Amino acid sequence: MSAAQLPALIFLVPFFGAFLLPFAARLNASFARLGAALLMVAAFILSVFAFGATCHGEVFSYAFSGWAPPIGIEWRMDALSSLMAVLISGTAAVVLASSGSAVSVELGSRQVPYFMAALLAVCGLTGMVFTHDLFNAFVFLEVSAIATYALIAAGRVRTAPYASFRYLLIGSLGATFYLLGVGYWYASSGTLNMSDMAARLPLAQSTQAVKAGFLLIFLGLAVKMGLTPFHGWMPDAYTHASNTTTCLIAPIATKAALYLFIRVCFWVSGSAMLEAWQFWTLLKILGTAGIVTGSLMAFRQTELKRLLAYSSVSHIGLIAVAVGINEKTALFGAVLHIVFHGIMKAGLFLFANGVETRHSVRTLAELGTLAPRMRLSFAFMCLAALSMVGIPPLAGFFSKWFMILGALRAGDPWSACVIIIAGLLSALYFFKLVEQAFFQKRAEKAPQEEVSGPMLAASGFTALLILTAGFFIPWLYAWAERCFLKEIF
Amino acid sequence: METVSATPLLAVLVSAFAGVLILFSRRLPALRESWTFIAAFIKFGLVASLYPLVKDGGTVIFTLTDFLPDAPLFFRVDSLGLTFALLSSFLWLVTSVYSVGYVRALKEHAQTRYYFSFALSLSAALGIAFAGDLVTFFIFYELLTLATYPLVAHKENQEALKAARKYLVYSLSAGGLMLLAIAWTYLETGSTAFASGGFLAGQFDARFLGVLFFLFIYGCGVKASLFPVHAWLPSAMVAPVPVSALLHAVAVVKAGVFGVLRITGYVFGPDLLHSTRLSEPLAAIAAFTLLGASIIALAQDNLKRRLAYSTISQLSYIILGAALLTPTAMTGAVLHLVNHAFLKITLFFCAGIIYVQAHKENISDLRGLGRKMPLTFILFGVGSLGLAGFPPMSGFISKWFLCQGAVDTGMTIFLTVYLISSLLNLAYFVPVLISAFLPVPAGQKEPEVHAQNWQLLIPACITASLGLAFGCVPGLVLSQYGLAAEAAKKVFGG
Repeated sequence: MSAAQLPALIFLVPFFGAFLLPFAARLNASFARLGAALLMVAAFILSVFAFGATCHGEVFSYAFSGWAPPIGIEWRMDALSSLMAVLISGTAAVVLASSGSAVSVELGSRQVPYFMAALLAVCGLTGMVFTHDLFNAFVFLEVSAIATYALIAAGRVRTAPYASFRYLLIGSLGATFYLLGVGYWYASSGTLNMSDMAARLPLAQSTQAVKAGFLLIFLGLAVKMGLTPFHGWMPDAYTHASNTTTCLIAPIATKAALYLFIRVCFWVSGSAMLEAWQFWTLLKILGTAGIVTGSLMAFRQTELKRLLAYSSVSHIGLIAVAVGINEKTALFGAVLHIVFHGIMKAGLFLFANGVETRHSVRTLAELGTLAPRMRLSFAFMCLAALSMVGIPPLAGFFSKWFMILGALRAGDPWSACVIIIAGLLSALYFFKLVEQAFFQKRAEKAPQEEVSGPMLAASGFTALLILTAGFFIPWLYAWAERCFLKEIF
Repeated sequence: METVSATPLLAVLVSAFAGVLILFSRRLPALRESWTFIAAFIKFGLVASLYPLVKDGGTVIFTLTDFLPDAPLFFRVDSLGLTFALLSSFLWLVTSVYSVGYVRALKEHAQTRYYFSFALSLSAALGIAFAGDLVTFFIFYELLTLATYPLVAHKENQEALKAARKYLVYSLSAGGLMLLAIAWTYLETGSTAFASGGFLAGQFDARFLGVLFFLFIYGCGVKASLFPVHAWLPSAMVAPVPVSALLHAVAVVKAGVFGVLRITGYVFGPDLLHSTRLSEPLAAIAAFTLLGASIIALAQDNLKRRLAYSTISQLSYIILGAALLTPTAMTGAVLHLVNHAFLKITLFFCAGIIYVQAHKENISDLRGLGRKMPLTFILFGVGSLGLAGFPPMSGFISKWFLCQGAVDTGMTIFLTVYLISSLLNLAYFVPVLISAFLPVPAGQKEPEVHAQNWQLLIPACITASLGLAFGCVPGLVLSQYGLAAEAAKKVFGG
């Protein structure tokens, strides 16, 4: 097996595996979940190999069914895409492996189709990450989206299908925008391959068409990543979906769209062109709006999952600001935050999953009674929340630090202030959560009623990553510098 | 002379490790509290073992990690840092004895969280003292905020939660500004390491020095409760007394003042501050805070609140000392950092004893108590006279140096401020003593007093006698002066 085949394998293993699940489930009902988890673990191991193979800046190209690019569909595995694959498959593996008790409570006999949809959603995201073809990216955008609609609709609450339908309407609109934009670009350049497109776009006859195409692509991806003002679908979808679904999609789905957006900006259209259109300013303004609305809405929520969903809106805004700074260090900070935010959000949603599955608690006010009964879960949640605020030396501090450094280096002190304010606004609602969870009068002696072992292990794992992330920063910086930062800037 | 040693790291970690042990022994109160004592002893021992290496101008270095190019995170123990570290690790020991007595006497809830946060705060305080660069300093500075937050919120009633929120809003916003300042400094100079005499001169765009100075001073000023960002400190008085002792003497506000000393002496440097005249607004604000807080203290009837405003005023003594930019004033500032801690913690201990034994919090209710609990009020007298600057108490020595420093600059206004404020100190402390020793008015009941609690009295005796000893025992005075003068000598180059 050569490294060049890794991206295809990472995709195909869970993809074909998904269709074997019904047969596995005939032998034993629990095999569906076990099989799904095992497949994701396999994909995760392959992704780690991919990350290792690309960590010195190597790039592997894979031409599907032997059609040479740019005619055929090309997949590309480089440092950034394999990092995303590690994040996506790792999160999926951890969530699926730990979700046994939650899924059986929530879904009962509908487990087989549920896990098939989950695997397909993850496959779609993996495809988005590896593909080097703009139309192919659209296909995977839709694959993951359709599977996600199904996952959200499977929620136990009666409002879940409505939330799913709403996401479907908005999401389809977004995908259509994206497709239309790719159409403009195809008309201007005659190609769909990203590298090819990057070479030809500047030669296009009509810059207006290129501009319109880019804006449409941006609109489409903005919907998918939940950038304000296109975030309307997110809070409902995350709140009403079943807990496992939220754990699975919230940390990674929006991140894959963000990744695709970063690809398009820096690898296809090129940052200079966007600078000329003043697009970066627009992005920073939207990002700031996202930070403010997301945080203030999060502060007003009384329901845990809804608070976390609005927190995602705010942090997506933060990443958008960091990308919009258009500077090396800031982009590194953005990439770090994509990864760290994924890990922290996974930890927080696992907590929300745990308290609801174990104690049917959904609101902040009820949390206070639980703290002495689930000490470890609460400790892990607290770590993740503090890291979101950016308290050193937890993971979130480091991404924030690089974003601020980048903003200052780019001569953009306002963005630096926005990033700092974003941290303070996060403190506003996360300390509200901490206060509700830890500082309520309650009985001192209460029996321990922790979440299931695997779930505790999963949130403990995220907490461990958050705690130790600081040690990897120097290495990660050197890695990013040699693999992609030098190339773009 | 530089020594490479892991002792600073161990000294920082020992209390954090104890914190973890405390969490795991929550069912065994005796074991839980003994972890605190063991850790406090080891910690003080480790810090004290650094003294011989540092007292003659040496430093102890330990690199933690390479975080950024050219800007590793590291500990560097110098005489200023060691002074703060010795102070806070010693006072932790004393406060722990007091804490156990206090918490048991009042049967407080959530004791595990309480001891855990206390231990963590001490790790953070030592990290601040030993930090060799701005980023390390910042990391521990934020950790300190975080570790003290549960202590302020300890009572869990609306008032306590409100005070804790206020504390967080003030501290975290200050942290945000400081982070901005640190990132900016790193970008312009490529370095974040503290250097005696400052490292910004000639490295930083002169037009923006004022903005940078503002960001840094705001960042430290909140913890140092400088006007107009002092309001969190009186609110935080709702916390239990040992926590107030921690906030006022051991760690928190001292960390803020220590930060001001680091910023003025080791980041900007006296020469740069002098040539840009940036120190003048700082001196003016400090002088204003100093007088204003003393006057407000006069009007407080709640004993702890009066002490809080007294702290705000005394901290500005130190900040003003740093802003005067003379070696004598800086020596005085460092000395006052220590002396104020011993004297103020004595006062808080006494306030706590009064509360535990007589359930009195207001000064107007103290009538008749002086005769029932004379030792407590004698200790209170030592603390208050010391703070007012009476010889032979230690407060006299530090105030003497501060006043000398003010004379050196030729700005008599600051000398006047120091002297007036000392009079005000007397004016707000003496009435407490007078009202305690006055007889109960005819027709009123004699106050009821519980039996003396030695677990509370002994720590107060220790701190009061040290507050006295640092003013009149030559060996102690000289070694304390040695460290302070060493720090000033390095900063002022010579």
